Amino acid sequence: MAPFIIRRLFISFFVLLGATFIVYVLVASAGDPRNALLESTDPGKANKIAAMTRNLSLDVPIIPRYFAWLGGALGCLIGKCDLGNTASGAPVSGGLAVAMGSTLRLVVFALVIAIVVGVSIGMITALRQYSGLDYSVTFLAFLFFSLPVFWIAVLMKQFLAIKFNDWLKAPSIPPWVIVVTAVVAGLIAAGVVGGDRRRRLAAFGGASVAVALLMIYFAVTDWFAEPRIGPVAMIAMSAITAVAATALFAGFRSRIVLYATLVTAVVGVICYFALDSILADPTTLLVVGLLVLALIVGAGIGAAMGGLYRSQAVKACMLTAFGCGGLIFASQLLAALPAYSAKVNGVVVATIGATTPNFSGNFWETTLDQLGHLLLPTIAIVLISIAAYTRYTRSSMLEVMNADYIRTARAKGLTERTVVVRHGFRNALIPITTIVALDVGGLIGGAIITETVFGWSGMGKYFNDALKIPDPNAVMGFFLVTGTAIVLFNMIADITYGFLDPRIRLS
Amino acid sequence: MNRTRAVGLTALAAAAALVLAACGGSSDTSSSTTAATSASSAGGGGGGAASVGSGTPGTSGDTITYAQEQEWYDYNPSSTSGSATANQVVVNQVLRGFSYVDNNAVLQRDTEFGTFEKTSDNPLTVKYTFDDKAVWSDGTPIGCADFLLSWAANSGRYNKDGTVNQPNATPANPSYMFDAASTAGLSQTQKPTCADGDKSVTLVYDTPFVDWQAALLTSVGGNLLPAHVAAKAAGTDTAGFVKAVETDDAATMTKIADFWNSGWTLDKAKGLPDASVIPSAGPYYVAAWDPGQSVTLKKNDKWWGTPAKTDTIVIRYISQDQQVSALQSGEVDVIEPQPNPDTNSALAALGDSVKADFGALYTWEHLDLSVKNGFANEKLREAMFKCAPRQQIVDNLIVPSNPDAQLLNSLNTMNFQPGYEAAAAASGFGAYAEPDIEGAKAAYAASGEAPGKAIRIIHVDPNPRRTNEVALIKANCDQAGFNIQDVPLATGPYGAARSAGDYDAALFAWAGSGLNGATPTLYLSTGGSNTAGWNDPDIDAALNQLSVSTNPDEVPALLTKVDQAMAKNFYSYPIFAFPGVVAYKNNIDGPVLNTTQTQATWNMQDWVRTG
Repeated sequence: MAPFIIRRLFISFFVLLGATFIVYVLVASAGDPRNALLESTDPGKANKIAAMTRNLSLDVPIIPRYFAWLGGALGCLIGKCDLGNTASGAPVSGGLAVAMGSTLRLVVFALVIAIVVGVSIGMITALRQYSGLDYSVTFLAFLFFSLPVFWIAVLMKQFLAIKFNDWLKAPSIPPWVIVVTAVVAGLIAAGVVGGDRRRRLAAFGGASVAVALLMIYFAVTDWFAEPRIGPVAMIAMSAITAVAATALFAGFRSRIVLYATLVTAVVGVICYFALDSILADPTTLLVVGLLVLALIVGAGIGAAMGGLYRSQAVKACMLTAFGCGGLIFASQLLAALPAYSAKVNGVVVATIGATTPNFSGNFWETTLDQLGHLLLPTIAIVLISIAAYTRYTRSSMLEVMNADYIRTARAKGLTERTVVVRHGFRNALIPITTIVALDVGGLIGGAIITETVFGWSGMGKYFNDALKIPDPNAVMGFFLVTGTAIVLFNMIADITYGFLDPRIRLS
Repeated sequence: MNRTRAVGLTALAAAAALVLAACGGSSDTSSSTTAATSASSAGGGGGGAASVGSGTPGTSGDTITYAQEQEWYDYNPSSTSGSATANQVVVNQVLRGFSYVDNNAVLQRDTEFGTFEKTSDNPLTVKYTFDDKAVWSDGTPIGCADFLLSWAANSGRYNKDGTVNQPNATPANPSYMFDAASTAGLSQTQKPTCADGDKSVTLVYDTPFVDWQAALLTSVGGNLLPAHVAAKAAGTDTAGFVKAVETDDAATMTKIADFWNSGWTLDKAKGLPDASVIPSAGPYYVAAWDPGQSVTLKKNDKWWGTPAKTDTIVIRYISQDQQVSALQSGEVDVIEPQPNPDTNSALAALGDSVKADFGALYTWEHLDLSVKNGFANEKLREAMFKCAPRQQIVDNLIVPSNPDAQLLNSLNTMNFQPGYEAAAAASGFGAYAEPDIEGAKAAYAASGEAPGKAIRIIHVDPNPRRTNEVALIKANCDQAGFNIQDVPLATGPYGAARSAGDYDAALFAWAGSGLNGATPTLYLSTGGSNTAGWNDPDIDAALNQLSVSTNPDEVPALLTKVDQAMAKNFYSYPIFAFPGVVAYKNNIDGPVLNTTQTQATWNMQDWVRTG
């Protein structure tokens, strides 16, 4: 692997070098940043033009200017970065670092959600090929894929933020909403479950009644005015998490794993009650520590109780522990919502910016503040990425499920769960890896429209602003970061292939 | 075996859960009480209250949030790099001076900051007196040293090589120690003398200067900066600095200049400079900066004038087309979007919850006819004036953005300025409001030019409004005999073509400030911005007189002379002033549309929440 990586790095370096030259020449030839000053009656116009000439070395021809820039940029390899100055004289590196931080915060969260949800939906639609669910998802995927972000963003601002915030001030759920939600939930459940008509009908009925009851409960208890996860809900949801984790990793043929996950869930419920005082105003470190502790405890329970199924039990218990931890986290967050809402004047879902300026509150309130600001841009990014992931996963999964080795696995008498998760899914992930890696590289370059519309000054906006001037140094700073990211993530994809597919590793 | 153990454990755990559930009831109530307390403390609006948390109206602890598109990047708005609207927006009420330009582009004296009076006309002598109580927000008195720093920086007196220029003597290749945005005015003064700690300074002009009242102005490129901070960075103190100016000590001045040039430039990676570096001399001081997101201004307790009406002003960076929805959602209280039919209908849809102040800005669109190229013939220029559908352009293209928009009939006085009516009536542009095709045909025939003369109108592209303007001009002027050609150019080629004078007609806008120091460069036969080859002795005489006029009452008449000559020679006609709007929540009082480049925050100390 090492020679392979080194060879790749070596080639990538020269690709990047060539690309910087092309981009630099293109940007520098795109226009003269001093032109913007020509329409000014400013008495200091001449001085400003002189200063800009100095900041950007505009008196030097493009090719020597590129090499001067390259000299500074190569310093990055030995820790002495000099990416030059922007047109206004500030160092490029400072602005770039801030933009980078902002973009990472925005993108990482969205990317994780898009991958998890997109891949899951893709897998389900592949397993339920040509079902109503499959067609609906295909329809929605194409719809979202083709929607312009700025338009979705405007709609979301209006309905998910402004109208939702207004509604939250006096939440009441009209009956038709309950009916529609219940029917939609029923249809989704029926589609996911599949099988014969009676089975689907049962799933439809069960899911829609459950959702309807839940909504009525919300309406009657005015849940949204003071949202929380009560003890009953916590116990039920922990149990569901335990069962789901078991189903994913081990199945129910042997009950040992189920018992292990259920014990983990019980510990989780105990923590839900016991940790209230510790979690009143925790530090980030404490929360992360508790999560790690939960995973360790989960692994411990799995190892202790797993017996013959130890490795599955450990994984299932860790997932359960993670799920219970998430539930406790969510319940604390929800409990902090009314106080937070009062502090920000009811603007729970924000339409603009990364945080409320000068917001101060306890851990839960600041977390809510960040989540409230992340919500809309994340949805915008997720909706678009998810469409692509769903499609790719579906086709890749379909191809794998029709392969000979799947038939062999089934013929061996493996359970359908094992066939799908161990033999099918793992192989189906290989092409997805490439797409995810490219996507990560691309997203680090910023989601220009999403950032602009939601007021995040990330890489996309940085690039856009720089190009408008046009400011070659700033554009090159941007290009260097994104170019490197794309090269790196491509390489990570190549390495990941090796882990997913032993054949690649061995060759 | 395994199975029994598991069941046993489960049972034990379940029992424990039940026990804890019993305690859970009480812990639940306790957590909800904490929530309630924290909510009420937030409602009280302490220092920790968030910006959207409005607190109690009209009391201390309140916050008003303003949306701005361009990000702050320099505390020194007088330096070449820092003199930009983006920076002035923040320091409008942080760094005050002896005068300011108000929202209608009228120069006002800032008597709270200090006073000045003309003590002699020959030579022009102005005596500045700081207010007795004037102190920087760190407690250091404002006085002689601060005045001298402003003078040293903006007079262009000190060269990088350590030599010193004389008043009015601009070196051939200036390489000033201080990167001042402008040296106009102060470059004509003699070095003022004062002792450290003096509260009054006398400035003597070598030659008279029209904008003498604006020499130490609160505006883009003119604010007073804290000398003690620069002196400290240079390893001395205010007394040392005063001495260095007195003795033209190049070594000390270089260190001071280095700090003045870049010491106040912000670095996003480092965040807001230490409070000791950015003291305030106005109703607000800069309290926090979140790069890319917001700047927070808080009331300056050391401000000696009328205190600000609102404790905290937050400036959030939001692109103009997103500002209306941010206003609607309640995340900002005051916005300055670009008025266009979309913005206007979005604002109108918000109904009574929002107040909007539409108006014109000090940026005026005009069509310049080049005497050097296609319009050397005066009769042709006359024809071009007569066929111009000026009123129609305003009605079709500007009124949808600004319902009150009017045709602009002066190149030097805007519709909103006092004295516009008189200036417009006298200018002569009013005769060309509606196209007079017959008159244009006659003038065209008198020019002796063959019909169908190609006229290239250049303008910046993409700009749909200007494309439409040219289309309207073409629809009318082609009837008079012209063959108008629309030549949209990207900013680069456009700038090159305009500065080289390579056009028959140029459609563009100048942005003004309400001061007159820059007017001569636009119309003087030798003016740097006059690339159309205009040359009229009347204009030159009026402008040369304007440059040295120290009596504000003389100025309007001189500007009118310029307008009249521009119209009489058919050189250039004004069309409209750009539309602008400031919109704010109906429970905010105070914001008004600012026509100049200093934006709505020019009077933020008067903003207040009323309900």
